[in-house]
Amino acid sequence: MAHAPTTTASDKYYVPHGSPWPIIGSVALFTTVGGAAMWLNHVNAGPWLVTAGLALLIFMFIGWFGVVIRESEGRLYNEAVDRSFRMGMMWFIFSEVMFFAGFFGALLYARQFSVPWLGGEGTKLLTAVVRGDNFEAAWPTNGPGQIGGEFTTIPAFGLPAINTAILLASGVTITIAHHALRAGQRQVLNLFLALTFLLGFLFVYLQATEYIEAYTHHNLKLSTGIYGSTFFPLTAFHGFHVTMGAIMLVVVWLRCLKGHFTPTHHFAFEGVAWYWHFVDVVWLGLFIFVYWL
Amino acid sequence: MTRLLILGCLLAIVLSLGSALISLVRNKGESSRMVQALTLRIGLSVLLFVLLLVAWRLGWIEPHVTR
Repeated sequence: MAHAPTTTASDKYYVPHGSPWPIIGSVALFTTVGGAAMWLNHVNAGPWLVTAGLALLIFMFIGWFGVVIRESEGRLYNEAVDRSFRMGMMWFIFSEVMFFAGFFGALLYARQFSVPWLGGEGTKLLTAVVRGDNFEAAWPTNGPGQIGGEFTTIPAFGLPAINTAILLASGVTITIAHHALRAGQRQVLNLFLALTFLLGFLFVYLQATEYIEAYTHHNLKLSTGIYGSTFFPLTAFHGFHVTMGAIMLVVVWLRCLKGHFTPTHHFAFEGVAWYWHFVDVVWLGLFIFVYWL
Repeated sequence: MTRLLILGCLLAIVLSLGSALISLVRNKGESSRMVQALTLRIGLSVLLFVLLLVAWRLGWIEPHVTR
């Protein structure tokens, strides 16, 4: 969350001293995860500890981001720090790519291999014979035994297509904002950045509407066999990423309103903009593989 | 054929996004390569969405339905 003016010596790495935020972050994470474990084991204090842990985590983020922004604006960062931010971003994105690769991998493995095998495809003919329930492999399915009961899918040309258009529109607005920042057009930047996060929050709202529709009218639930248990985690984790991205966009927008960033030094903006394009591309993959192909 | 076109378009989108990431890591804000790659990325994505609409309208492709 910082840009890196080069006013300090390039061979010295700025190290803050006496920062309380790492230990506060550790306590927050320990409290959250410990509380979640208690919650799963029906200990009464569990939900309270999770709430307290998350509140402390949010407090830590606000405090730590504030420190980094002030350090950046105070010209304490040099090229070495800038390089470490960019490397950090790269490794963060690598972890994100692997995260979604796991979920897309599960979807493709189920569709291309395990469901056809259950239907007796290839060398798995005996599987179908032994099962003897005439399970016909097709996608979408909740598998042999119809786990979760009869269901219908959300039509691609309903809310999913509208949501795709909304997210693509937000991709266009962030790109206009990016060009405006580089051209020094601050008003255009502020306007299109605001439009971007508003479109992002609208996407999340419509996604929630889609879930209610799925549960109430389609009998499509997390427990609806292999389709439900791949559909909901993929789309929900994506929605969570959109929410986080939109919050980060709000932070960057507030910084833009305060006059932060220059046409050549704006790493925080670049990082968040790239992240926004990333969640947009993940959604395109979801739209195509979950709703179409 | 339509599927190949869709997947090819998706691959081009991922490659332009990857190119933007490399620019983000290497160019330190001075170069315009990152924003150019991202502009290409969003352009291709809008094109892909339009392609899906047209392919559906012409009956070349059908969305999933429960059977």
